[in-house]
Amino acid sequence: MDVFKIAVKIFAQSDSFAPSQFVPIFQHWIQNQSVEGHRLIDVADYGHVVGGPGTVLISSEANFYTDRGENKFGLLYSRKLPLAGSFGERLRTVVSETLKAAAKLEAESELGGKLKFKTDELLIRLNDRLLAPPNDQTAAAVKADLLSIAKVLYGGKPVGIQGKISDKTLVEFRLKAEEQPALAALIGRLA
Amino acid sequence: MTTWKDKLADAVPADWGQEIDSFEAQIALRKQGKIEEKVFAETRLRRGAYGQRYDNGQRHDGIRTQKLPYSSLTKGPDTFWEAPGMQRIKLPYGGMNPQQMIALAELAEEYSDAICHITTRQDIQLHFINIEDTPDIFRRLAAVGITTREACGNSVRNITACPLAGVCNTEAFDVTPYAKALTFYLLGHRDIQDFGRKFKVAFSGCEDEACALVSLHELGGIATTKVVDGKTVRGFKLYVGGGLGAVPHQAKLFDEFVPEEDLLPLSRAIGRVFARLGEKKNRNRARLKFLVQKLGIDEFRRLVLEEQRTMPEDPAWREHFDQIPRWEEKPSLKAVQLNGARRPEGYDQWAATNLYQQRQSGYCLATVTCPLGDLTPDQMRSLADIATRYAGGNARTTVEQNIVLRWIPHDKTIELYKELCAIGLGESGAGTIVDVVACPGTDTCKLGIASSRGLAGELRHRLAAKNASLDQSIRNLRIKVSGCFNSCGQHHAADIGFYGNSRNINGYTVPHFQVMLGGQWSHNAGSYALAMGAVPSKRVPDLIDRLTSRYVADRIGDESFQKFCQRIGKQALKDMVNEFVAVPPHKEDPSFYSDWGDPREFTIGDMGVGECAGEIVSLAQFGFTLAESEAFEAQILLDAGQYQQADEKGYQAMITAAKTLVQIQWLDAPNDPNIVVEEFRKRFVEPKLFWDTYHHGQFANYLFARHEGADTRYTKDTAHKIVEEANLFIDAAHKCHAKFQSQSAGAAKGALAK
Repeated sequence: MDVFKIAVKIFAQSDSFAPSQFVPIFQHWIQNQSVEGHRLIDVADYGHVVGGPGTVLISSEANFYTDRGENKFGLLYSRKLPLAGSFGERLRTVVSETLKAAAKLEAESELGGKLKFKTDELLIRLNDRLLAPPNDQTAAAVKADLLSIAKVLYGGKPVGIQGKISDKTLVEFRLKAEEQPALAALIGRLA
Repeated sequence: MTTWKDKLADAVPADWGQEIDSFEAQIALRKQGKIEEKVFAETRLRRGAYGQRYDNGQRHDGIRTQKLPYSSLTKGPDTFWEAPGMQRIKLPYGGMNPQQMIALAELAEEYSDAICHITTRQDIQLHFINIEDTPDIFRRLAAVGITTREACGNSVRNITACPLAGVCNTEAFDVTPYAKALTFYLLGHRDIQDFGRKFKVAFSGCEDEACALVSLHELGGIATTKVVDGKTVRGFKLYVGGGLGAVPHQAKLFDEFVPEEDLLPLSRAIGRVFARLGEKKNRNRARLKFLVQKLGIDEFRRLVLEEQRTMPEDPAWREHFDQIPRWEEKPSLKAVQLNGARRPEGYDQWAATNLYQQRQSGYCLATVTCPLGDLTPDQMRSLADIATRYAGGNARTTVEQNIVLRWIPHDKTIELYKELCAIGLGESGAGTIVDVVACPGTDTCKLGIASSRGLAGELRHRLAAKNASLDQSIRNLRIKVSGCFNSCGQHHAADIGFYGNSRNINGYTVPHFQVMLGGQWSHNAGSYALAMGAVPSKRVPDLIDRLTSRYVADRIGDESFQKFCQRIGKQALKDMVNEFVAVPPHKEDPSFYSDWGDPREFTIGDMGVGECAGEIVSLAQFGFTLAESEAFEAQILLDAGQYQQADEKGYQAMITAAKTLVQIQWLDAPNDPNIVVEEFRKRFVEPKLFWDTYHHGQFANYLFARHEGADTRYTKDTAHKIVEEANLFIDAAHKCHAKFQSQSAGAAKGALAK
């Protein structure tokens, strides 16, 4: 599986955040170039689009969306530049970057500690119709790596993995765990 | 690894596929430093691949200007390769079918920031695109019948048309097939490759409505008919030389009635005159409007008609013209009137602003309001599905940055409304004061001074909140915002328009907007707004309240806003504007010193050099670049063991280079290789212009020998020989061109000395 354009969304516990709240936060991130391994370039605000990408932090390597897709607010990290390693290693990196960015957002003083992410669910999307066409072969090709990362993240406890294969949308998988470990714990398990 | 090129090999039209392959080769050559950056810039612009803000490698972060550490490779002057860019996608007359909508959604999802943006010229733009993804983007678009060719650069841009065309109650006839015919006739046409600036075309079905805003175009046609020998014939009231920008011009009437069969040849003649006489060096004076102004409309008309009489035959127009009667649009459902069905909350309000009763009984056109012209890939996909089920697949973008669905049976409008609401696109207010139009401005444009989208978003938000309480006379006003004087937001054609600028106050740069009042949207943008002075960006909403309140209070009868402005006079308008010019000191209210939607302290230091004007690249430079990319493709084919194809591509590269030289003397040189070779021999080899002091005519002989016939063994060696010879031939052609240019310059100097 050669796909490197992997996107991961972690959902927030509450939807009560205006997209415009994230504009100054992302601008500060750019001022400080504070996301390691990412050349932060710009902020795009799509808060006026219902169910849209919200406020987007653009970097050369990935986009960080305060995404409102499915009308559920969350942080979506979408990789753009290639990553080294196997698909499993790339997936692990993208999940790790997502979790680290989520933790960074949670710690933002401008949000007053109100933003908390749910750690029992992750949406994984393969953003490349050529390398990850919507079919059973794609699902089969990534299955082991999904199981593997679920095991690492949730310490071998039960995790449901639900795939969505449709010719209309990108291939995506939803990991649902039975418990919510601390965000820091998840990050630590991937380190 | 599978590639889009392989996957879509059968779906992409062969000629489009070859163009894309050449562009991909040019990308590779630019990375190797083998194409000049200026030439590559214009090449990518002519494929719609545009620069974007901060691609010069620096960005003010609110405190200081940060260098964005890109590698040194550039994709144009002061434009870094790795910096994200914008991809403009032409949609002639705004037309999209469901398959195309799905493709646009997928591209936005996979390559951009997950937004499809509708422009004021009925294009779609994708932002934050990597230049290396563009060939695949082009292939995926080509596979559904969309080309980005000439979407930017000094070329004929997207040809726009009234979104009501074909269903309008007041049109003379449907202009859609004419817009389509002219689009594809001029697309890539050799006569339009040597413009000094862009060239915009629009078609309207009626004179009195806004339709396609003909007055602000280089070339505009308004449908009209007349009776000749008892028979009604179609034609166009044709206008030329309109344009906005810093110096707006109303188009001039070229002819009251151009018969439909003359439209394509006449447009070609206009293009030829513009290419020949239009300004090339000073880009600020290079639009057609300046040529028409300089010559006067009568002389311009005379030159064009003379050109039409004398230009070489080009039977290609006939093929496109013959397609016109075949144009038809079909509904997917039978028309049934809405008959007492229960209407959900919000429907009536939406129907009042977003539904238009078509000429065809029982059918409506529904406008899907897209805030600031933006929609998500999921929304675009859902709209494709909705268009299929309700509208016969007939969707079009509008210059007001919305999408219209046509042929909706009246009884299906309630279901349609519910479905649009379900995907977040059920907003009412299309074409009203709430539906503010804005160009990208400082969000992504290199030329933007102030945040047009930020302001438009704020106005939209505030006006929507009080929409129900707004007086009816205000609701129908139009607000349009541009980020700078270049007018991409079409602020001249608005009741209330704005364009971004700045003022230095107390040592700070403060974002401002110039206020433009009383522009005419109707009558194809029949008159332009007047500048009334600049106000701080943050005072604009208050100013709008003031202007509209005064309009409601002092309006006489059903007086339009434009008439109202004329009646109360400039001084009264200026006085109102002046109430809002004060800027509080920074320590008192720092919010004035940043722009809408952007908390950074305002600066104009992020402005770059715009690419709207394109790069002035000669036809010869284009020709040689194409020849070099063909030679490069030949090398790739050779490496892949495809020897016959490598041989043919190498030969083609030599023909292209030879034709480029011939065109210096004979612009209309045909593509026929026999003629190219003969003319090349006569004009360049025999007079020893294509001549090397050591090798003499050897390089020319490579072409002559291969033209006699290929070595049909097609081995690695034979192919390798041709590829090598092609490269040597192109080098020699460059030298010949340089020699020819210096001789021409010397002759000109000599003539001047006499």
